[in-house]
Amino acid sequence: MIQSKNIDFYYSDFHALKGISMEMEAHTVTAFIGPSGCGKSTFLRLFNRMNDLIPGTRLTGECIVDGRDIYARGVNVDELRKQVGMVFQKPNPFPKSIFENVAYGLRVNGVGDRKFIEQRVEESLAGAALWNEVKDKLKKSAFELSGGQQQRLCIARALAVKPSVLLMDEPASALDPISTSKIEELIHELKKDYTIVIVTHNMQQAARVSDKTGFFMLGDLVEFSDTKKMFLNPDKEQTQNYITGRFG
Amino acid sequence: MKHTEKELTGLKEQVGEMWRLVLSQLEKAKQAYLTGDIELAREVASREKRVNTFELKIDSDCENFIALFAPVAVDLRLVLSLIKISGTLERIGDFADGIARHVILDACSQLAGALKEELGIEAMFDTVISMLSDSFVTLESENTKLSGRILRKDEEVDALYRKAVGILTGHIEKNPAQGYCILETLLVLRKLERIGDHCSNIVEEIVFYIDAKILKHSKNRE
Repeated sequence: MIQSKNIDFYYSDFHALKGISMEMEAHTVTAFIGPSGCGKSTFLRLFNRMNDLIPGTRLTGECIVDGRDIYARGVNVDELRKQVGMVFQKPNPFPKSIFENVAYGLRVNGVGDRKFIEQRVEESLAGAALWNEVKDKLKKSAFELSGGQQQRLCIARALAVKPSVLLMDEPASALDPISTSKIEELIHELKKDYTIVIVTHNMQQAARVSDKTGFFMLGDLVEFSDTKKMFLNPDKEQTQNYITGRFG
Repeated sequence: MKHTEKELTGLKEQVGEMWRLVLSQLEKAKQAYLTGDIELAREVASREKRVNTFELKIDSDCENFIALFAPVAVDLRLVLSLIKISGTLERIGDFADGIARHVILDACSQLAGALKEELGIEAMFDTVISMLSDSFVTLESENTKLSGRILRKDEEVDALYRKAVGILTGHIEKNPAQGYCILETLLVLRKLERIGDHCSNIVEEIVFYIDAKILKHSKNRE
């Protein structure tokens, strides 16, 4: 389970997240929606401490992954990022072969057993629904793959280190409808084994893939509820105005 | 007004036009039935096709709206309600047409005016007409305060129907020669009773749209 308790986050003087508390159950998909600049990506990136890399940021509150406050002293951030994988908006494969992209996380973590690596690469590519398309060209450059395949390769790369949580920041926004559909199908499959949190600007995508949805605006979590309820009968007028396109 | 809102307003206006047509059909069917005006009944029968055309057009426009705009929340509830309401209005239009055809057949001219009065047919007509117009007001004003009153009127219609069936049962025993006419009258009463049910269904759809509450099959509808 992932949990946030009264999170406030600042970019220098800018108060980007205001008292956010929520719980995301294991093996569920949670979608974050909201207008640009509302804080949803900032909130997502807290869960593998990606915001640590930005100077001048400050956090109060607790961010708990599998029972542990990930901002507590002594937390190994590299270990955390193995546990909490991330997929970005634009596919970002390394300039390496397909095989080496997936094997990368294992190698940097000191795994040297070739058979083990081969097995994990195959499992991860299969888990990302890419194995059948690339099994005969594993030594080819990852850049030879289509955008949708590259994104699934990035998912396979994240899966290779056996995380328990997958964070996805608009993972399909740069993809065509067929590739988008494959990513969405994959999300449905992956939730059996992983807890998934996705940021999306696509309302229908949030409705299709998630069990719960959180609506953010101006740093506040306006509403967090079951996706079905959110898209049929949201509690807050602000939510209704946003999802029906009447916002502003 | 945003494009989505314009489309939704257009759909609502179409349903409003259909509503006014069906209301007019029902009022004319009442007048034709109570006065035996065959010409007026023919007018009702001839306008039935317009009601059907409305239903087809609204269905098609709602399907297009769903396909093109992927509505959610209150917009989705409105479109789903409008599809069901237009289908229900079409059924009410059928009943008005059925009553008009009963007048055209002139099967019951021998039924005494006093008996018609005793059966409470005019009261049934008036009640279902007020249910239909009040439910229209409920949708137009987007205020569900009237809904409880409309649903209670359906119970009044049911009570009038049950009473009328009892009267007709006694009448057929005393006047077996009028059997056919009495059965025809029973069919008209049955149509009015069904119109009351359909008006209740419409109110349920409006409450679903406005308040997101499901009254259908609920015991505590008020």
